[in-house]
Amino acid sequence: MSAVSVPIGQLQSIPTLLGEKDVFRVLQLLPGVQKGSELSSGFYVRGGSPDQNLIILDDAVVYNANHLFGFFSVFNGDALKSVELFKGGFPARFGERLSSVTVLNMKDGNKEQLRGEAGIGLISSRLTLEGPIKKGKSSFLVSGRRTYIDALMRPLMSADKGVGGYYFYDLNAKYNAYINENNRFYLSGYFGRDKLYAFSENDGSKMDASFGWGNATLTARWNHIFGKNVFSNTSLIYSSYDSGFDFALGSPNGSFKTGAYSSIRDIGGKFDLDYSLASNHFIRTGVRVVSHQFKPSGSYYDLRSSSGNPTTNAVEEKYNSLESNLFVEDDWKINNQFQVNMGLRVSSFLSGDKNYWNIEPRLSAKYMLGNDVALKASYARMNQYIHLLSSAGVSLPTDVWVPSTGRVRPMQSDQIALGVAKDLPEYNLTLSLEGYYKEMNDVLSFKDGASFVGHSSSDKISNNENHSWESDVTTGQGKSYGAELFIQRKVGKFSGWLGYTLSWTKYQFEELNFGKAFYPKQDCRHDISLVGIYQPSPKIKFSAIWVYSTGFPVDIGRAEYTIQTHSPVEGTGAKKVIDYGEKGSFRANASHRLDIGTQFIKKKNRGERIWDLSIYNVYSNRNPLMHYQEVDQTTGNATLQQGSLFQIIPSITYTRKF
Amino acid sequence: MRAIYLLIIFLAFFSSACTKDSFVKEVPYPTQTSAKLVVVSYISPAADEQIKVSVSLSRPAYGPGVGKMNMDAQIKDADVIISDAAGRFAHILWNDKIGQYVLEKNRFPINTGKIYYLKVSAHGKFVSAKTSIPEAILGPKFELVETIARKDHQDGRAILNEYLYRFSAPWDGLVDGGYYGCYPVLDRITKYNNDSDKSQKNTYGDISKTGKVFFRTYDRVSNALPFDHLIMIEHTTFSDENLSSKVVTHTGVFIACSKEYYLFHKTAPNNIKSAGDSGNPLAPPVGNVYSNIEGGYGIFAGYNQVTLVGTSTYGN
Repeated sequence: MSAVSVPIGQLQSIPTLLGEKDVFRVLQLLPGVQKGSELSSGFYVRGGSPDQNLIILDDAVVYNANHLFGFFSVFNGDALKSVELFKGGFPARFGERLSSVTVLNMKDGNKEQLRGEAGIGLISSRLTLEGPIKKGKSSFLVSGRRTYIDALMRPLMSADKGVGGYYFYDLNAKYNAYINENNRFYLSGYFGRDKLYAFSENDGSKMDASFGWGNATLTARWNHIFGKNVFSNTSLIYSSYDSGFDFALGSPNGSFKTGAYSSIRDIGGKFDLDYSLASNHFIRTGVRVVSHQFKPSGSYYDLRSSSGNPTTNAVEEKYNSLESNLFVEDDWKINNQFQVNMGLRVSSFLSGDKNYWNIEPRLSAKYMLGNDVALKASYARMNQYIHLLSSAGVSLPTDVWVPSTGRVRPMQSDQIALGVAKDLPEYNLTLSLEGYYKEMNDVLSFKDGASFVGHSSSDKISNNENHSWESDVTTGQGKSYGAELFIQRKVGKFSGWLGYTLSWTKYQFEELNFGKAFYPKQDCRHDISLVGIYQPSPKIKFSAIWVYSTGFPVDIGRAEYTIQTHSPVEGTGAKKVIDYGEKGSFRANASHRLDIGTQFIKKKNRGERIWDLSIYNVYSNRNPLMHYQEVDQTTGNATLQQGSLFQIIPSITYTRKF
Repeated sequence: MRAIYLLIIFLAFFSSACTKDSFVKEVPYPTQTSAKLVVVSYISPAADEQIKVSVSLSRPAYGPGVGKMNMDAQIKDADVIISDAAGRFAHILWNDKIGQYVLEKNRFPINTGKIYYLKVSAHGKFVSAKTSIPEAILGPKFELVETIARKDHQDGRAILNEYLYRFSAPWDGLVDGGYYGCYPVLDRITKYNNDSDKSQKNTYGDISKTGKVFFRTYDRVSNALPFDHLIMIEHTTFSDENLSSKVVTHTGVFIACSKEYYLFHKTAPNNIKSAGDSGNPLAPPVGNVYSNIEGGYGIFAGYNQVTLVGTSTYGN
């Protein structure tokens, strides 16, 4: 229960933003999943923050799933075979995050013939090729995309006045081999990068600046069948994420380079063993060990002049930790009415001198009432040993992953869920209704006003020696509860779904809001998603999405006053102070929008071509993103202004499949 | 040609969506409360010869004409009364010269370990607050640990001087559950020693820098170790400066403070710093400034500036 498979076919059919088919924007349409803001494709699941979502691509963790500062996810829909989201009732094989697990698998590649798909959109183009290496035995898949706004703008710029731009690209590749009937092997990798850059050249002087971030993953997996009832998966996994900026000045008299960066790098292994006791009874067990290396901050400079010695310096903050877990899972269909998945997971995290370990029980059960009504219940305890320092409250490439330490404990959650599902085969409909209650302990947050961004080591030292990120964070409790309704029609000329979520999320931190409980940004009372796809003939497909969500809590000034600060050594000084009222007590306006799309499909001699026309936010609703006070200097009238991001945005994409 | 028509239609859509007005709109603001009294007073047994109280009005953030309201203006006709637990009280009167309500301390002594109350009424509004004067800290130590001069890599003339100070105290010199602060101060003094012209024989602070830290005894890690805190101050000098007439003085100040003083100073800096950041969706969340003024805003806080722990002199 609490798991949803995202139909890739429907992902390809629904309207797009700027022509990019984004799997995360589809996940945001599912009940229990809240959109962060239009700024971000990140999402909140059952009251958890974005860092509580585990995102796995072919067994490898993807640490930052955002392109273009969060407008798009890093996953190219053309390369994906399946996407599955777990919001609760987690099987014991999954852990490491509190709120959700998203499992994405790349296509294996066509073993029989060469196939491809190419697309040209408003901001990017993409190409996917798949085919046999040895027919019937091995295959490959290569899929890449790149934005080209920077390339289109380049002719309009000149180096002496300064050239700047932005691009992202990503590349998915997979090799899949059928060695014999008992052994299969695949090697899959993802590499993606975003880069914002500027350079200029004038009178022999050069300036070059860039800010980049990106993920890399590599998975080697061997699937071995020991016998009729036992098979195993053994994986070696590499994953990394880094972000940083570099700045360089050069002239005939010398050069100067400086930069700062942060990163996380995993190297690990995983072994799963599946044993089929009977056709209705499966045991799965496994172990996973990962070595994490965290570099929350690093910086360097290098100064060279034509006369004198070079001056260089480099500093780096580094943590190594070892995360391991062991699980056993029993999936048993006891009879035609009753099915249970129970498991136990033991997790441990070694960070410096501190070693945490926890036992995580899991239970999920289903009881059939008649042929088409299922009652479901689940319980899951989760632990999360790594944390994302995200001071702005939205996911940014500058966010930094850090480990649990002696001072910062792991986060832990307990979630129970109850549900009922009913099939209505005469209408091709599936209905499900779930309620959940989740408690979260040792949830991490920045203290008010604290920020990791622009907080260099020397700044920290000068303000307060012994100061590290650990001093900037505080821990508290959270709880989230609610109900989710999901009505889905997967087949037929008309397909789609309705998702509705009614939920509450509250946090309480001793050091925030003077210890009083408050609604965090992800608290959303009502969230509705309506998705419809209508295909009257094989040549044309219409689609529409309507979404609505209650306004998010936001802290805006309620009053202003001047206060005299005091220092026994500096005396007093008058400063302006803003009263924000009770934290989370003001809500932005509700967000809603309608997107529509049409696909014109034409069969060709080989494959087909698709013209995809989409209009995002058809009625141009100005959804809230930010708020600020505006004062008319003549009248003194002060008003509250709301800034929005996306108005109506049409897009067109041409796709050719062959 | 059809492709060109499509392109024109899309460009028209884009241009209609890209004006400033289409991204910003006025929205209803939250219910506004009327202006509140803002009262600020810090009291100490030793540090000041006078008790000073500032009284002003807040202004609502939104509404007609609020931008014209002067929130800096002091209210001069308030009734301000300080009292203690023993029932002693005194009126604090407006002082035009200082621009605050002022009472000489010899008319109302402030003593360690006592609780004090402040009541203010003005313009039909009434507020009150209470604070206490904590025990002085015992056995504090202050030392300059290290001085490091680094060349600034961007400006060849500049030298970045780092001064590392240590504040320490035995835990049994602190009250359990107490609140404290320590401040190192760096003053670079330029001396003019022209004996022939006495008017130029003056001394002024060329630069004054301070770091500070607040801590609670709740935060102690171990009773076995003394409170021990390092603070660094950075200060830039220039290689072509004449430093021979300059002296750097290092001063350490320990204070024991009331809970109100501590909470105010922990919460105020970020709010003050972010006051110009409003509207930035990427700015870190900011909390409110602590206030113990019932019915209004501001702070009434006691502290005990224990010692000028030590002074050393360091020549550049």
